[in-house]
Amino acid sequence: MRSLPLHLLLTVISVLMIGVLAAVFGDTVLLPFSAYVPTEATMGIVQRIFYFHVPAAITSFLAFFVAFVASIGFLATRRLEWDNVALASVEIGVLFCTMVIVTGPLWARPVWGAWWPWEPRLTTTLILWLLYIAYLLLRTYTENREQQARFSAVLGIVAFLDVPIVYYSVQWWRGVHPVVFGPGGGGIEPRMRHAFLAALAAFFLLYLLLVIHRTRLARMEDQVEDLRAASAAGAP
Amino acid sequence: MRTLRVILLIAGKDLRSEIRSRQNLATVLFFALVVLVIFHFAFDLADVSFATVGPGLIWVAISFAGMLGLQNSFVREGEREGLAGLLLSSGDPAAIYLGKAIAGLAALLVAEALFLPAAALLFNTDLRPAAFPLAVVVAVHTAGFSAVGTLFAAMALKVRRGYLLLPVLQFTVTVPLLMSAVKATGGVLAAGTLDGAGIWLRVGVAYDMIFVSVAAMLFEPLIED
Repeated sequence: MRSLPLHLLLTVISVLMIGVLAAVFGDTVLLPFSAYVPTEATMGIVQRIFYFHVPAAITSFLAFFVAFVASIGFLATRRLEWDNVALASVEIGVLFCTMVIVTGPLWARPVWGAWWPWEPRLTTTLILWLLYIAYLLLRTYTENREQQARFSAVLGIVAFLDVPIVYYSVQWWRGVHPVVFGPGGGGIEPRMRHAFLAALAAFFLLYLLLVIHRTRLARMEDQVEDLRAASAAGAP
Repeated sequence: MRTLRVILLIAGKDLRSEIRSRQNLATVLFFALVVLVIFHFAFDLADVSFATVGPGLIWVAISFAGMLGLQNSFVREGEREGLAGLLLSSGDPAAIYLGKAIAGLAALLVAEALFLPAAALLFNTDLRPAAFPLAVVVAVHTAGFSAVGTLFAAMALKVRRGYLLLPVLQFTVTVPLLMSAVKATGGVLAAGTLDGAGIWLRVGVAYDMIFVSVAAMLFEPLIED
């Protein structure tokens, strides 16, 4: 019954995601949630990408932070389980980052008039995406499992330390991103906030579920490899 | 004290072998100039003002050529298990890293001192009025480049087809450094003083401090096998 909590988690994610999809697709989907969330006055329906774009971005940053911590954990303890968590988190982070990079231009084209205006946060996300694809590439180059874990941990740390420098450099380079939250932000309508928080919860829980499964899969791959090595060693 | 001695010994060893062969310097310099020529024919730079594209061209050329130079400094160690020898004789991975990074920086600075006047000539511009601030900006950003490149070159040495891996890692992680280098260079060339670099000089210094210290700590797990 070990997977009962995971089934519950999946159920919660599914319910939240139905709500989020209704909010995103708005008037085109006849669900109670879509009527609940108002359509933005000037940008119209395309603003609803926000409920996908921003939670995906926040979750991918979180994923890379988890990979950073797991990388330190591996170098400190040399337990492969840490590396499995780092790998899982980077893979899911890259997935979410890809969603950000795809949804960003879809919104930017009608609102800013260009698919890719080299806007700071989108650019930061692009560099982030490249950094962690480099991480996944590095893993294919290494000679053995132990070296793979060590080298990945080094890059997992270096790449994450690069993120704030990239972020500020890109900001100072040029800036036009809408700031919704925090100082200088426009703020949002309460019902939009509800949709946003539901989306954030859905994305976060989805990340959690996927990382748990991916880590488990990576552990099984290690076990299969150990068994193979053991049987090769025991064979006459 | 001992650490400092190891650092200087290793940097000295690398620089001596660099001076004796000069092959590395010649290759880096040659490649940087070829990059400029390629840029010239790609964008017909006779029609473009140096102020708009010059700093970018200089830094792309330095990045490409510099990566070759840093890679070579580790290929040398790989040929006869040199890294294992260094580790056995000094027992201090951070000192080995710092020695290699300093030697890499010094070699790149020599190449740049020859490359920049040549670039100025090719682009019909005079860098002399801003020579001092330009030298500071170049040194600060080359240090970061060498710090990251030395770490990844050691990584590339340990894997098959590492020569493919190095550019992937090096150019992605140094993206903010390149941005800072280009902006700072453009700034000092326009202003003629170090103030022209503005915030970018601080970005460069911050990048150096973060990556030199982190890479020195992370070098041991890289070379332990």
